[in-house]
Amino acid sequence: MTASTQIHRVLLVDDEPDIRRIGQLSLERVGGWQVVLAGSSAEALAAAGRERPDVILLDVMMPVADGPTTLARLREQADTAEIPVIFMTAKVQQHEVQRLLGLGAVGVIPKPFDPMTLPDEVRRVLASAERP
Amino acid sequence: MKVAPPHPQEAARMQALADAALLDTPAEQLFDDVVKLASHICETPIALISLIDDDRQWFKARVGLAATETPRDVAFCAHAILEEQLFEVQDAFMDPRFADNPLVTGEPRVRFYAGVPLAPGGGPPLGTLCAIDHVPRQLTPAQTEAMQALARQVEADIELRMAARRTAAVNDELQRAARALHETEAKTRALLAANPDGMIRVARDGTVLDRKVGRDRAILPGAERMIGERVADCFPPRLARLFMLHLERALASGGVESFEYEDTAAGAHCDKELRIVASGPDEALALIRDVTERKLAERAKDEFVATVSHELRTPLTSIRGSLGLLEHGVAGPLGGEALELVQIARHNAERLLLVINDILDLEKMSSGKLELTLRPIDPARLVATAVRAICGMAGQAGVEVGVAACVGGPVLGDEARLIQVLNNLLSNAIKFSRRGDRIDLSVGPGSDGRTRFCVRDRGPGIAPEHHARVFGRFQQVDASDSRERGGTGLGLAIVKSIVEEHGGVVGLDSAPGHGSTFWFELRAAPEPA
Repeated sequence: MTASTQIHRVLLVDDEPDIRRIGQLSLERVGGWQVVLAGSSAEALAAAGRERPDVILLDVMMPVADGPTTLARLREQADTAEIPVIFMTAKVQQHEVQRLLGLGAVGVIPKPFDPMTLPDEVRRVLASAERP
Repeated sequence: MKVAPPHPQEAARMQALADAALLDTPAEQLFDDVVKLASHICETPIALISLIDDDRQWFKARVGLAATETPRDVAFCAHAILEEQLFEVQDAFMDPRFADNPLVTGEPRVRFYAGVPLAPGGGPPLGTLCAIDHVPRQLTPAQTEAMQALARQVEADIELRMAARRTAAVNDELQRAARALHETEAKTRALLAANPDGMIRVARDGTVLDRKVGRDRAILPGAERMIGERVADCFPPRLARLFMLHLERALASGGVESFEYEDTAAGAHCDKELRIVASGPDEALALIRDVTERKLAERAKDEFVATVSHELRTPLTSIRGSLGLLEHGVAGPLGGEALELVQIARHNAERLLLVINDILDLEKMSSGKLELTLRPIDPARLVATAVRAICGMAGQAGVEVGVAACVGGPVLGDEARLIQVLNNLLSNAIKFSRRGDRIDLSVGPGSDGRTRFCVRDRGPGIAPEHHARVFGRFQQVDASDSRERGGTGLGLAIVKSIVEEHGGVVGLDSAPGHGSTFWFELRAAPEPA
């Protein structure tokens, strides 16, 4: 893993509080990272600008503004435009994954995720995205 | 007395007699006139037109004789029909064939007989024109010639009647055929009228031969001016290209070729389906149907399935995640029974997830939404990948999985889906194996040039009466299987769907006590150009 993929802080965005809590436990206790939580697109945009996470885990299906909309807004703000985003989705059909990658995400992690392997999965996605 | 033998072509002769339809018919002027002339010319008291039936002779016309028929055995005419020309018995008393004939010794006391065979149209003889006297005599050459001329007249008339009868029969047949055709046409018209689809009859080169506007004019816009035009002139370019492509395929295959397309009707979007089927060597029938409502229902169902999928997976993510964290002590150590219960709960959450995934997979397949990425795949690599993927499960069950044989070139398939197929078959085989058993994977030639993949286990085997349903959904042979062996009961249904989506076939060879061999066959990849 290169220096740029060194993770200290992760922003987890999901409208489901239970999933936020499980993700937090997984990323903190198993991954050893600092975790910032957001329950909506608006919270995510604010937290991303304030906390400057190393990576954002972004739920796709959310009310009001969904994952792709949130990604587009992150890209519009100069201070969040470069933060790598990984989508998390229960829709795992090939064409759906391709569509999400086409929006500029570095990877897609299927739900339900395994909390014991989620941090490894995040590292793997970031590492493969950095390969030329 | 000598009885005349049957005519050498007796069967054909009897058929011709039946065709002439003269037996037992009323007297007719023409034939009556002929026998009167014969009697005058030959100067005999009796003259007859005799027809030789199976066991009698029957007189169509007669002078000087009251009887209408006699037995065939005693008939002079039965002898006469065996001759080519005139048959003459100058004195019956002096002829051993007839001297003791009851027609000679008794009434009508025949002494002289002269008969000319009647063979209309050069066919077998039906009877004779004959002259009979009670005293011996001999016809003069002029009388003989006149008898033969009269016989030809009778033959010509009978021939005409037979020809007329044949013509009438052909006419009847034609009329029957015409009636049948008319009825078929009427039925076809009724079918067409009842069918709401728009229709186009089209020649191989794309010329529109005929068309029918469907229930709704919007189904086939511009139908009024289509006849004689080309498909390319009747439809937008992309649709015309699709039409011609499927027309060509339908004519080549003889089957139904269909595709769906989007159209606008009165400014509104609509979905249509076009089906083409060959209706002759160089023409086909295209049926166009408005499927907008069906597509709307399909889209609503897709949306429902996606929503259900999301709504099921979201709580399951929380349940499975919480249990996983608990089990691994992330929230503090768990001991003894607490750990065991958490493991049971997590195991069942996994199982529920598998069922949901399998149901969604099957739903995709049954609605034709399975996305296959077909590429040439080396069977050896496929098999090796599948074995690697299953080795964990095999190790836990104490079952050995090996590759027995691998013969064959690349097959055409979707690698991830084929690994799913092999994985389902292998995990199925493992579930039904005992500790220490061996499972063999093999690849070899199948039917019709396809490649066959086999998974053979040494399990309990399956009775033939259950073979048909093992590939069905939730069809485990024994209801207790699901509990004892795990699994969703959908694995083989998925195998069947994936393989059939590849254009392949699945099958099973098994008998109780002899293990089971599940197999599937795939098409070979085309040779690289």
